[in-house]
Amino acid sequence: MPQLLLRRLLLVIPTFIGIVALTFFLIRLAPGDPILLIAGEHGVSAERYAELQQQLGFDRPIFIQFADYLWQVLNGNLGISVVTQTPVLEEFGKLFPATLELAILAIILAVVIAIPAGVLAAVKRNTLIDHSITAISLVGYSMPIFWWALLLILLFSVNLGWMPVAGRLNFIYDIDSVTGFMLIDTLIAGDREAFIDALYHLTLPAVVLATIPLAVITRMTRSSMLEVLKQDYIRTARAKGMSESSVIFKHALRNALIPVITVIGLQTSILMTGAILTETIFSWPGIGKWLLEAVYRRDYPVVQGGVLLIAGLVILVNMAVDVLYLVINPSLRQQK
Amino acid sequence: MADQDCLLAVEGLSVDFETRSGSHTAIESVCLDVHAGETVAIVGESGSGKSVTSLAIMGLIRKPGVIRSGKVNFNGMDLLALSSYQRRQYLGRDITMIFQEPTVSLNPSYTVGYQISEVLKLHLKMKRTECRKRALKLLHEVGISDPLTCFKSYPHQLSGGMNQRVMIAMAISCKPSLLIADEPTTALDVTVQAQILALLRQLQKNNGMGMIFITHDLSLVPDIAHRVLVMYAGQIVESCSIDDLFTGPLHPYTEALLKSLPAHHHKKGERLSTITGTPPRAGETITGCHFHARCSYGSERCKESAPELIAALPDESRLVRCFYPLAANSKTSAGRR
Amino acid sequence: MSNATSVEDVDELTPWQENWYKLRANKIAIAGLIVLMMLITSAIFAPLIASHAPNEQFTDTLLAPPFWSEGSKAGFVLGTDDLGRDMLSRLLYGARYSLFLGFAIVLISLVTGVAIGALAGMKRGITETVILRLMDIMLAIPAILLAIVIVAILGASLVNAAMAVSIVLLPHFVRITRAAVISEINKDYVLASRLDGTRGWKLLFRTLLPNISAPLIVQATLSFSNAILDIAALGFLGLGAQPPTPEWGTLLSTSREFIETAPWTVTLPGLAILITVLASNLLGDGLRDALDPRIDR
Repeated sequence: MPQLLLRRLLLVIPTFIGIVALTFFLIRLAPGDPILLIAGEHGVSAERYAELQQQLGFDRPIFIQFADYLWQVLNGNLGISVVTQTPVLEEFGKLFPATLELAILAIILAVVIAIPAGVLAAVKRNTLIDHSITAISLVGYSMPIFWWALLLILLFSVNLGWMPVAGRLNFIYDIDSVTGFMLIDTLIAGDREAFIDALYHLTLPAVVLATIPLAVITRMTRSSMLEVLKQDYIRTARAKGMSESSVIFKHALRNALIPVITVIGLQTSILMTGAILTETIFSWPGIGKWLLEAVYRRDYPVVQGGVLLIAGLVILVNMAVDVLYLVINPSLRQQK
Repeated sequence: MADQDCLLAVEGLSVDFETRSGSHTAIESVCLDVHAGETVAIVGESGSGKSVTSLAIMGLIRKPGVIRSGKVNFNGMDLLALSSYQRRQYLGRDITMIFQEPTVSLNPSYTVGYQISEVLKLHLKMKRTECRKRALKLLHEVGISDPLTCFKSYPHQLSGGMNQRVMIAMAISCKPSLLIADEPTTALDVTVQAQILALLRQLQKNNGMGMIFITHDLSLVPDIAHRVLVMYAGQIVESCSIDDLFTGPLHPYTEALLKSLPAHHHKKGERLSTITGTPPRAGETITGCHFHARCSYGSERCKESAPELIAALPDESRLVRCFYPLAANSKTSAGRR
Repeated sequence: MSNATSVEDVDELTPWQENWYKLRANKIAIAGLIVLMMLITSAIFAPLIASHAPNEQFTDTLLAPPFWSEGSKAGFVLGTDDLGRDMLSRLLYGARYSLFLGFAIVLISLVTGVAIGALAGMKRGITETVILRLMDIMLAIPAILLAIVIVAILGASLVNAAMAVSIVLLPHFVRITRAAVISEINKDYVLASRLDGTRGWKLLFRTLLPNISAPLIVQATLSFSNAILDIAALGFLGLGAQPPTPEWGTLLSTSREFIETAPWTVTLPGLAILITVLASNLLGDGLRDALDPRIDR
């Protein structure tokens, strides 16, 4: 088992280095003088220019620059934001919990609805229920997310006034940031009203973010379940006199969920990192919005560092999913 | 056999399969009975309907299969008339089944021990520790040398033969009165085949249970069966005792099957005989006798009208579906083609 | 006597005819195809169908609602936007961008992806490893993010957005092609071709490609849907088509502030995207069912 982890890790390293290389060369590709890009657009004095030139070492051979950059990255130095003048890593750390909180909630919402829906659709195959569920999930991943968000805002915030539109918390609440997770922090502060307000703020973005995973997981569960229900061991379970619900939930579901777990894992990594559109529309202070603004403002260190961090996260989550898959799939265990 | 020993009496069982191109008959008017301590073999080619018969008896036929008619009398009740809840009380406890491919017939996500315990818990309401003890005993009873290791193993970690023993253990766990074995040795090695057959024979002797043994291999039948039913294209074409079958079959198909057995040929260099042609395709409607196209005997009558399954002897223990049944040890009157 | 029919009695269907029949039986997929055809036709004939020019501003009919609402103005069936431009006309012209770009992007991605994937699958060794690693790297970055970054580097325009999306969709075609090539290359028919002297590109196009086209076609329809959504997303973020280009996503970016006052300027463009992508997905599902022999209904 540990050797499996080690092997996975080894495979990941070249990919990671590749990403570092990619981000390294990205900034070289951007039109314009890279030193000016790093320094910011506000004009640079000659001394500052020389200082940066010395510091960044653009006169050295490209491979030395890359090695140096790689070394910096491994030491946690991902550059300084041109706009805020704070280290990229630090900014990321401050904003990531907001994205994570949203992503976790969205995934839970998606899974809780999708898996029962998929099972229902499979068991009631080719009936109206099946067709409805399939149709809804099809619409779910055919929609442009940003439009769906706007529609929900139109309905729930504008017309009904039930939900707030922006941010994580109404500004009248002043909550100390302990974990970075608003739901937890409001509870720690003992402020029940704030907690509920935080929930309200989370609702619409979580629903929007959950839509695509919901659709994908429903489809996956349904098709996996259909596959499993055709298997011989299901017939055996019935021949043993087990009730239909036992057959479905104890025998079929366990096997059907194995491929679904990988899909859930993949969706999680997409959510954690691809929440750009949702965060922007709801003014959610997470890494997606941070990165997009960096792109608008040409804050290249942030773009570079941000992409690196996000890609690193994705690789990590995918690796964890691979390992999890090996653990839960009994047929991959060793032969006795 | 006395009638109070009669465990199972199937009457007029017919199953159709409904597809988008229409419905076709899988089995037609199947009748059979099994008594305590007796093994009835159902023999036939693939597609003859033998598996469908067993599944119909158990009530395991699902869409697109539909049971058109018939009665399955088990212990005085018609299983087909019961609700699925009522039927489930018997399935796995009094009437059990083992299947052809044991490794895929077991759930890959649970240990073998868990799956055996499941039946015990479901039908005998045993507690976990009792289940475990009983399961280990059962594994030992079916000839597994290391029951504890086996108990904790997953199906893919065990050989086909071991998995079949596990299935048998599951099937006899609640001391059933009837065991249906659907080609239990087809997917196994020849040496293992013999072991499993011996095991089944032994268990039957010990428990006095009735058994239905389904196979396409006629050579296995003398080792295990008391009576034989020969099926062809969804119908029973002959029903008799084991001795009668081998000394003098009445139906041309049975005769041809016997002739094609390798053991039948004594002379070196003699060609193995085969039955020309192929069985009717599923869904093909046939007028007249289903076998007439491949039959070496018979006449125009066979093409036009379908023979019924009727008794060939006064005591009704031998049945045959043929207009020109072969007289024991002699050729037929209608002449060869 | 044999009961087999004679060989000449059987009508031979080519595999493609068989697939077409299977697809035709799937009514929903055909519905998707019809909708898509209608959209394409509307897009092509937009200048003839549209009642106005897409960028023409009618300053006295700003923010007029669609015909089913009160206060709608004659001649503007789906209303007007904040600069008095006819919604229907803008949507029709917008269809041209989305559909044409969708096709172009998928074509570029497909051709490049197949070439690279085939290279990996046929050459194996170092080439394959390098290509796979490269694709892994691209897949490690979420699609939207990668597209945004590429556009950020190249500059915000429709063409750059299209290029970015093509690059983002590339790895899927590469992987499928490589896997298919690897599984087919050892089969007898390929060996027969090679013994005949067929090599390299010719081997790829004439021998391999017809037999690996099924998963590629399915992926192409899926990528078409994604391409439309991604282009719209980039347009919405201001990184794709720039106003006044009536690309559907771009329409949404400018109309966003009027969500309260003129909701139709928001709902209609999004609906257009939804319908197009839905039709494409329905067709894609149908194609997959028809082309993948393992699926049972």
